This record gives sequence, C-alpha cells and structure tokens, in this order.
Amino acid sequence: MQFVLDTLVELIPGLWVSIQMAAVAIAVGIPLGFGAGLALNSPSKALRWITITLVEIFRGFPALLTLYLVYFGLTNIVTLGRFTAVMIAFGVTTAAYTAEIFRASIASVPKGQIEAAQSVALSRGQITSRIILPHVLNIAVPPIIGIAIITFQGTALAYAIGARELLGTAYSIGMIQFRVLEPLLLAALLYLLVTSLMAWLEILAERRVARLTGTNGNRVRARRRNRVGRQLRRDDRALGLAEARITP
Amino acid sequence: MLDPAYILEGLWITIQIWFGALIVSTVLAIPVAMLRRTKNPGARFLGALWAWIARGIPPIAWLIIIFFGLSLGIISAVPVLAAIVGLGIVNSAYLGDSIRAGLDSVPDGQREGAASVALNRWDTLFRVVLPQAVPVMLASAAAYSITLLKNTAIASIIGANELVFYAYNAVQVGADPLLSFFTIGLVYLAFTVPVGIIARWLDTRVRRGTVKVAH
Amino acid sequence: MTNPDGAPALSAKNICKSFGDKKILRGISVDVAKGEHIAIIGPSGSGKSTFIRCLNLLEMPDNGTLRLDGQQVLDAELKTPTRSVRSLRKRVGMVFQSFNLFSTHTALENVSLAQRLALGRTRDESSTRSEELLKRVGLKDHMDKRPGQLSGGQQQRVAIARTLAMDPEVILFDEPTSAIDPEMRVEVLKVMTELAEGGMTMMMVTHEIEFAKQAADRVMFLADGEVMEMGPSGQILTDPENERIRRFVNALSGVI
Repeated sequence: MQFVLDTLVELIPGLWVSIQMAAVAIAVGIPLGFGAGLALNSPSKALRWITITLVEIFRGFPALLTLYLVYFGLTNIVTLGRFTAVMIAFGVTTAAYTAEIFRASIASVPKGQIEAAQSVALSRGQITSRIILPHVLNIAVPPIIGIAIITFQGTALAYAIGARELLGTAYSIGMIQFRVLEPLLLAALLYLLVTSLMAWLEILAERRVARLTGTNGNRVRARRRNRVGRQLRRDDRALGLAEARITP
Repeated sequence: MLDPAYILEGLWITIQIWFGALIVSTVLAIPVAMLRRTKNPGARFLGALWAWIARGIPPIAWLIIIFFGLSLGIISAVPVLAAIVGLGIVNSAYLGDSIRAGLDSVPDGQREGAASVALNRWDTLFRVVLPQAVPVMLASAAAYSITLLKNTAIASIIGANELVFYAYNAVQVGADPLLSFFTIGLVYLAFTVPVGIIARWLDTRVRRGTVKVAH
Repeated sequence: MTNPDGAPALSAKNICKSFGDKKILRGISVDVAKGEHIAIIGPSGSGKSTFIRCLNLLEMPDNGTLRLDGQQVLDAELKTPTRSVRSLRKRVGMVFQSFNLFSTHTALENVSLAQRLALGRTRDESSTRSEELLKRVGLKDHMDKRPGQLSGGQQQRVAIARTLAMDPEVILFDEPTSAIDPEMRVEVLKVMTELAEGGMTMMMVTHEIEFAKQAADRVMFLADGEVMEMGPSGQILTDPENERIRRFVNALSGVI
C-alpha cells in the first residue's frame, strides 16, 4: 500500500508534463485547425486543394510517425527539445483532426447572417471574428473536446522519444523498483481519470449546445443519440466521417 | 535510403498486426455489444465498464502493460502477439459501438414485421435485421480500422518489426530521417486514403438509405 | 451632406443581373426622392428580391449605375473597390425577410455591434443609442434576449432597430413580414408606418397590399425582370389599368 502511495506521488510530475504537452499541442492545433477550416471554405480552389492535401497527410500518418518525423527529421535543420517536438507534431496532428470540425461549423453559419453583417458594413475580418467565430465556438466545442481527449492520450507516445511524461515516468519507476506492473497500472488509472473528466466536460458542453441551438422536440432524440453514439461521433469526426466530409 | 524489400517485409508485419487485431476485436466486440444491449443492468454495466477501460487508457499504455507488465506466456513474449492483443482490446470498444449503432439503426417495426409473419429468431436476425444493420456497422467499422492501422505503428515501440520499426532502425544507422519517415508515411496513406474513401462512400449510402426509411 | 439641387436620395440606372444564363434583371431604373416610400410588388421570380439586394450590393449588378444623394457610388462596369461597397452599405440599410439576426448575440448587441465596428462609436454611445431604438420599436423588456428567445415579429423589430442604428439615408425592406405569423405582422407594420411618417426614405418589397396603399407614395410593378408599371400607389393598387396587375392585386387582396 505504501508502495502504491509513493508511486502515485512520484507519478504526479509525469502527469503534469502530459497535461502540459496536451495543452500546448491543443493551443497550437486549434488556431491552425480553424485556419484550415477557413481555407477549406475558401472560394480559391488551389487553397482548398493544398489544405486538403496537408490535412489528409497528417490525418493519415500515425501520430508516432509524425512525432519521429519532427523529432528526428527536423534535427537536420534545427535542434528540437522533446517538448518542442511533441508540441509541433501533436499540434499539427490536432490541427488536421480539428480542420474538418471547423470546416463543417464554418459552413453551418447561416448565409443570411453573413449578408446581414455585410449590410451593416462590417469588414471581412470583423465578420470572421464577430459573427463566424462565436457561432463556431458555440457549436464546435464538444467535438473539439473529443479531439482533445485523443490528443491527451496521444501524449503517451512521447514515451517513445524518451520524454518523462506519465507513461515514461511510470516505466522508469518500474525499472528502478523492479516492480513494473504496479506503476504502469497506476499510470493507466490516471489516464483513465483525466480522460473521463474530459469526457464529462464534453457531455456538459454538448448539453450547452443543445440548450443554445436545440428545439425542445429534438432534445429527447438528441439525448438518446448522445448516449449511444457520443464516442462514435467523436471518432467519426476525427476520421472525417459524419458531417465531416471533404468536398473540394 | 530505405530498401524496398525491407519496406515490404515491414508492411507484411504491419498487415499481420492490423488483421490480427481486427479479428481479436471482433471476437471481443460481439459479446460486449450483446451485454450492452440486454435489459439486465448488471450486464449492461459490465459492458460499459469494459468499453470505458479499453478506450480510456492510451493504446501505447496497453501495449507496454501487456508486454512488460503482465506475464501472459507467449503473448507477453512475442511483440507482434502483444500488439495484436493490446490493439484488439482497444478496438473492441469502438467496434462494440459500431455493432450497437448498427443494430439500433434497425427500426423495431422490422422485428415486429418479421414476427407477424412467424419468422423464427434465427431467420429474423439473419434475413431481416442483419442485412440492414451490417452496412451501418461496416461504415463506422471501416473508419475505426483506419485508426487501428495507424495504431499498429505503436507496436514498433515494443519491438515488433513492422514498418515504423524498420524506418526507425534505418534512421539509427544513418538513413535520412525526413525522407525515411515520410516514405513510410506514404505507405500508410496508400491504405488509409482508399479505406477512408470506402468508409465515406458506405456512410453516405447508409445515410441515404436511412433517410428513405424514415420518410 | 445636403445636396442643394435636391438630387434623389437613391438613383438606380439600368440595373442588370444574370445568374448563369438566366437574366433576372433586364435594366431597371428608379429615382427615389428624399422621404419617398416606394413599394415593389410583382409575382415570384419577377426579380424583386434580386433588385433590392442589388441596391445594397449584396448582389453585384452586371451593369448599371447607382447614385446616393447625387454622388455616384457604383458603376458596375468599373468594378468599384470594396472600400466604397462598405461606405455605400453604411448609408443604405437593409431589412431581410428572415431577419438574419446574429444568433450568438443578444438583441442589444445585435443593434450595437455595427455601430462600434463600422461607425466607430464608443461602447457607451452605441448602447445608449441601441436602448433608445429598442424602446422605440417596443422591445424595452427584451434587450438581453437572444434571437432564439424572440418571436418572429420581435426579431424583425430588432432587425429594424439594427438598421436604424446606422442612421441610413435609405432603408431597403425585402418582404419584411412574409416569414412572420399573421397576428405578429401588425407590430412590424406599425413600426414601418411610424418610420414612413417620420420621413425615412424607404423601398420595400411587400405583399401587404393594404399597408402599401397607406404607406407607399409610388408602386413599382415588376414582371420578368422589367418594370411593367410605375405610378402613384392609389392608382395602381386600387384601380390598375393593366389586366395582369389587376389580377395580381386582386389575388393578394383576397378579391376573387
């Protein structure tokens, strides 16, 4: 029991590193993803195709491969610390996953609202930041949290380049103590805990969206659908299924 | 430079892990989906618990636990087997949802209709329910299989000699990292892009079908 | 910006617009005097909406010129730059059939947003003005509600306040009551009547014959992208000479 407690205490710094990694990757990925979403809605065919290609590449590459690509590949050009490599690699991966969500949410802004904004003489930049962005933030938050969960779990891959995040910390405690299983299981429990917390936030966010946009009639159906298919839809979005569909 | 012969060898191992994990996850997912569709709250809880644990823990943590932490005989000794079991467990949670969503998508009226013309349970399942549910299942299962394929890369960390393992070692002995990893990435894209297109095509077909039924 | 020679508030010359091969507007011209109210009527597909949207450049005309208060603001062939498109829109207001309120903003924010962003008014100035306008359209108690919480009639009144806040020289109405339940239309029409009595220059696409009779000075009857008839509202709406207009007006008034 004492061993369990001691291990838990030793794991906390690792957990903190994992959370920080996920946070910076998300902080990098979301603006990039929003930019990509705007580009995917752009009238310029060339811009759309370039964006589609980039999104498909980073969505199709295993995240571990992207991490290696950045960590080992970019060392020829600049020397990267592990944390920076994780930030870039998972930031780009997160951007690729969120691009579709943003594209679909931007496309869902009613055309009339854009016209109304034009009719009161708002500029393009103002329309993007004051009309489109709030709308997107409202409806895209739950699926974005879904992607954030994937990003958080993905930070465990940083173990492979020797980062001292949660999994790496657990593994090295196990090596030192000659008791591998317990630290690993405790780390797994912590992953489970954070993931569940995020999933709970996702549910809250979904309720909020339902309250903001939903009519009463749809609510019951929406709730039932949520129960069965939340995880399903989350992954569908990440994979570009569901409403996420790239049509150049 | 990477040697094409080695790439093919790595690809062969990658495909073994992919298909192996698909089989393991299918075997696990069917009872999980059944548990979650029963009326018994205890059984439903068990099913939900399995799904929660299977996907709440990162795939790489599963592999490390199975390979380094547990002593499951041959499974914990052969990296490819450990990867097949670990990734199979993770994917079973997703696949279980696909199966559930597929069965849920068949309206109750279809079963009632089958009962009204005195079909037995077996015929109802195989002649009425499954033909409608399978396309729905396949659409999302195909999408999940892409995630699974990408996750096979993790097996390299426990020493399975698949695609990424080979590229990683080639880079260690002097191959250009940018070029090597990118080339391997293209091999993955050669699978993920077509499967993604199939999944989207199935998805649109299924949706169109559902709309027709609904109206 | 007063004009000594009493130029029209809005003058459109030979406005043409096609979508693909389909010619929607075949050269429409109109001069709207200051304080004048013109009702645009016509069967669906006649180009009424497209015409009024061209006046605010939500559709860019293929051909024609626009003048505001004697000043040329658009020559379609010269491809006017965006800056002048925005300055035109500051001077010409638009009220849409489906209100088009910003769904993420409250009624008050809907009215004050463009005052701050497009006219550069301060937060205080714009809120004071918005409150005053919302009171004027009878929505004193609904200022902090979002569009989803308001009825169609209330939303349209917010939209009118949003337009008024820009202090436009002309307001364009595109079927402002068509998407509202009949019992709620009255309150919107009341606000529009008040505006008309206050001397606002207005152009309105509408199917409300009774309202047009009272509020409009002139009526423009559009058919197939052309002006079929233009004249005093009393004459055209009560006793039209043209058989096609007569049938149309009778159908809208419920006379068989």
